Amino acid sequence: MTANPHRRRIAIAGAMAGATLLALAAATGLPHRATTPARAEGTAAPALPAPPPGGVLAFVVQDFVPPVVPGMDACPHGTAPRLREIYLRTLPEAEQARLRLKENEKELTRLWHAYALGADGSNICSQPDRFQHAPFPPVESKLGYGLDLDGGKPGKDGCAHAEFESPTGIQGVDNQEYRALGCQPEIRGPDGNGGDALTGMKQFHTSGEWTQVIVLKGVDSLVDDPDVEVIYANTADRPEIDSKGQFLRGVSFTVNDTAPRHRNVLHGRIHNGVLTTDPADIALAETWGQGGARDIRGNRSQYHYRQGRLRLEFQPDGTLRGMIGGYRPIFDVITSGSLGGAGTAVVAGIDCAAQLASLRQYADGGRDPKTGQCTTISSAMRILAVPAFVTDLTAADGSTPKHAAPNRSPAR
Amino acid sequence: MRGSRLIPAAALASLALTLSATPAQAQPADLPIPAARPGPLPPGIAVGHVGGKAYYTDARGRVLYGMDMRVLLRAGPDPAQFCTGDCARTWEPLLAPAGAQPNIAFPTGFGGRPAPARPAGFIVQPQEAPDWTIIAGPQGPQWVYKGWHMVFARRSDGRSDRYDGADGRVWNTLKYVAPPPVPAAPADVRVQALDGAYVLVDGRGRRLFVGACRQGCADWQPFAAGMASGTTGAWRVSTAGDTPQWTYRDQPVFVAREDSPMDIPATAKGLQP
Repeated sequence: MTANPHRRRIAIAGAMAGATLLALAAATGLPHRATTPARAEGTAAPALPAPPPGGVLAFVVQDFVPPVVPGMDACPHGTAPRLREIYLRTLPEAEQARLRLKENEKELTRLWHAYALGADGSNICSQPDRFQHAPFPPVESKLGYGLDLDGGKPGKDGCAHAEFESPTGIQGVDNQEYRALGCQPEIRGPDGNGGDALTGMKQFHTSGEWTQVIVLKGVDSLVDDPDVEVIYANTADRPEIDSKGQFLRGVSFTVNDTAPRHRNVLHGRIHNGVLTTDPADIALAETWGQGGARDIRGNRSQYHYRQGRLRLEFQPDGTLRGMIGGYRPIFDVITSGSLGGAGTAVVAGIDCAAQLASLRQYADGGRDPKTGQCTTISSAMRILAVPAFVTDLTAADGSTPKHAAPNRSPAR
Repeated sequence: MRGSRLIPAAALASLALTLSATPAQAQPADLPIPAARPGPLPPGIAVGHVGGKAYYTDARGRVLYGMDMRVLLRAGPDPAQFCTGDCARTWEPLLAPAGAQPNIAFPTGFGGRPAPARPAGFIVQPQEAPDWTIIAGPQGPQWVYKGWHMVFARRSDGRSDRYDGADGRVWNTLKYVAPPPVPAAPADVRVQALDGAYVLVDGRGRRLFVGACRQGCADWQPFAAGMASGTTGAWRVSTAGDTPQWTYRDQPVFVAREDSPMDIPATAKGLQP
């Protein structure tokens, strides 16, 4: 009995890529920084090694988080209020003052909890369409991370909107999800840095619940290559982590082989050390409501990026850093809260109806020709991927690829 | 190559089975399809075929569809009441016999108003429901399949399965997968779906196989028989080796490796029920 030769071939490719880049990192003494600023267009790429023979590189995604520009300049009024406070603001000031008294806390709790429920048994998070709440204050800063999805102006299926400039100088950044929800305390903590959601989301990747892998095929150069195949997929395999929670390099993964697979095949190119992919629909696992009676185990909640694309920079330390951008159906953004139902509102204090109102207000994609309303919203996630061994299963049912043709780089 | 799977997937694809690590109770085609549970079908329901695929059908031979209540959560607090108006003009509910009492409801979720008092035996966790239950639908007590799928037939084009996945996978054909067989085997042996067929595995999910090892036999791990094991059907205990080992039809039984529980050596023959 011998190891699967196809798996071994990919593993070797991944190992050589990782070894090459790691060797360079060691030689140059470069630290493994937690974050590396994105390179602006026109900036020279750092010295990068040649790709491994066979042109296959593989990575596991360690960070997949909303990119937050730190600080409270973006939210001069503070982070978004909780549902308790939103309810209080619906009342006359005198009544607010009365209910804020400690002795009236029980009454206030009963009232604001009731504010989350409709007379027909609906609740503000599972059925947010039934509640008319004002949108949250948006991010007011001009700075935001993301990608330029519309080339500077909305197409015929888009809606007019302001664009961000990235802190590194990239213009025309489309990330209306950040504008709409970037002051939510889950996204931006009280100190202006990333909120609890970022930590929680990393746990989903660490646990293997959402873990993603990236396989690059046909790479002739890490600096310039006009034709690269990119496999962006989920894996059921759990990453290994070090004592600080960082993913270990060189760990083996296999692309998911059970439905829903979330194996996205993209075409890309490398220019100046930056990999970009052509716009395409990208679907990735986003499982919410684990253990909940109404959960459907991730199939109806997923990351779905319409016209999605990657912009990833090869780093001398062997990692990939950059962004995924695309347009998400607006309700997808609040699926977690929706599945959580009334508990999301009365325990976490989240006003899903206000979130939905914000998302609708700032939606900039998927324009409905009948209503003129946009139904999707530009979005971005920051990605950090570390070298790994990845076995790519190409067949749809996951049962035959172990016997299929080797996973060679495509013919050039 | 590490090992082989004995069952060619293409030949068995019509069974619409996929290897499922968890018993997801779903009928949408993009999720693992659970097998039917043994037992009688409700009156008027049968198993029919369309294009070689097995579906539940009603008394008129129409393909039965499930309306996945989970997908309709946004539409209202009780998705069981969703299908009225245009929906009801397109889809005919499969009503339970007159006088039948509902024994399941869509769960209310955490943090909302408390659920009403339920009679004994009422199912509050749909994922734990038997295959066929009854829910209070807008037109009366109505059958539900596997806890989540309110059962309907299309009023027109009723023998077609082409609406599978319609409306964002609200509507899904009720696909029939035969219950797994119950083999006469030791208590530690289970049946598991693999590549469109059933195979035998041990209690840790490792595939069982027989055969003759010619070289490199390190992965031929004996399937150990516990103390006080005795003959069960064609299974016997061999004490010829260092430890008691199960045999099946007088062939020593082996178990796949822990790190690749579905892979067996190329010269081995996987056991099936």
